[in-house]
Amino acid sequence: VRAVHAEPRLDGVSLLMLAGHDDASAVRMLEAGAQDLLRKPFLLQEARARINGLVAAKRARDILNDALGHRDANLIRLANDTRAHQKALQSTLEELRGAREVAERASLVKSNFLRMISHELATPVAALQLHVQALGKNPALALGGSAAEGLRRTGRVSRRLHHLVDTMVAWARVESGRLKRTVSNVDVTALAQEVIEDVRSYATEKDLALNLQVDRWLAPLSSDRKLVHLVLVDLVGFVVQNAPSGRVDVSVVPMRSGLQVRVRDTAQRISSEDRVDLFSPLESIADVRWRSGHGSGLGLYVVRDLARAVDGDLDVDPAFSGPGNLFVLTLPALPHPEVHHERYAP
Amino acid sequence: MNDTPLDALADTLDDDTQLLRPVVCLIEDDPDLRAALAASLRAAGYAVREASDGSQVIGNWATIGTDVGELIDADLIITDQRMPGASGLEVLSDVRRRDWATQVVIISAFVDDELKEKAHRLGAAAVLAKPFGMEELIDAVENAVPI
Repeated sequence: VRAVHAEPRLDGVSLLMLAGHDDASAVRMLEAGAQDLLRKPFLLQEARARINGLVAAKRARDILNDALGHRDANLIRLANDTRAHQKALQSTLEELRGAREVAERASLVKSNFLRMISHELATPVAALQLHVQALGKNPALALGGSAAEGLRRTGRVSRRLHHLVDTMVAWARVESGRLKRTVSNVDVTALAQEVIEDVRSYATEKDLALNLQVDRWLAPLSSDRKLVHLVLVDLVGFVVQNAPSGRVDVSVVPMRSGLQVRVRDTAQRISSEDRVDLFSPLESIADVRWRSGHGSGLGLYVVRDLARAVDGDLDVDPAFSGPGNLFVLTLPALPHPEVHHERYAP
Repeated sequence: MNDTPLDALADTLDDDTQLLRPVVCLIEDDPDLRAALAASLRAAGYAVREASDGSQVIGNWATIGTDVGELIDADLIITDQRMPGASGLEVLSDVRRRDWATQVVIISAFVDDELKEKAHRLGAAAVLAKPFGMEELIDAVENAVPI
């Protein structure tokens, strides 16, 4: 019995032991692993029945072992596949985490660069503007003709540069969440008039009528004057730039709590697809049509961000029946802070 | 000699009025902006002394004796905030160690609430954000020291 069990090739083979009637070793044989015992003398039918039983049991065991063996193999393959997928998933997650960290670092670098460059531009732009203003005010120079025109244009360009730097600084602060609003009473009608006069020379050059329409006196709006000014310059500058001719009408309309500045042009209708692109950072950057303007030229999505920084909004009215387009700037009244140091406002 | 158009503008003023002009001490490290500011101020009727760095003036103030004690010999100090050597706030602190009468205007491309708050606590007359035009500059200066 021990010799059969030690032989791997006989693994699973059933053993039927034949023993004498009073053979004391028969029990030990069963203990050693024999499947059955037949004591002599025995009937042939009994032997056949026991052998058939052992053979049937062996076959059943073989079938079960075969089935279990397949299942085990499948389970092992499944476990291996799962482990491989887990590893791949882990690796992809790590790659994604790494890519996100790189993207976040790149975004931070971009924001810091934008902030740094806008601040670094501030000093030379201030110097340029002061020098140009002095040239214009100096009666001793008595410039005329093309020199005077050149000086006028240089002054206009320096004001645009000034506005561009202001817009970049404000937007960098909005983007980084560092913008602090300075709320005071803002005469939006007067501000709109001031902006229109700033932009009028561009409109005149292209034979474009630029008008401010105010039906009645409007109470000052509590808001951030500097941000509202930036938004108005950019909005009116954009519309004037993109209107080839005809007219641009700016109107200031009261609302329940705040007001709307509506800028209407007679230019080609902006399609609903273009309307989406107009306020999309990616499309605004890619498509020069949406970047041009006599304001900062940074695109209307920047202007909308600034409008939202004073809890307002900017859109092209899709329901406007035309002709032309209607840009609607909504400016709600902001709550006044308890203490406001007007003289320290930048 | 007219170095810049602003100097030319300043020189159109009557020389006899020079001694009566309020004195502005101007501290700015950028030479182009310093020249523009100095000439704009001269053109507006102020006498200007220039320094290119806060460390040039800290501890070296010229003073005059008055009824209320020794005061810095300037009606107004205009100082940039970010400069090599010493910042505008350090200049302002040094001024306040001597007197609280001298007006100080800080100019900076990095104006934020923290700078405004610190300048306010030290009694600054104004904080001007760069870039600014001549009108903004002269408004701030005239509010601090009317001619």
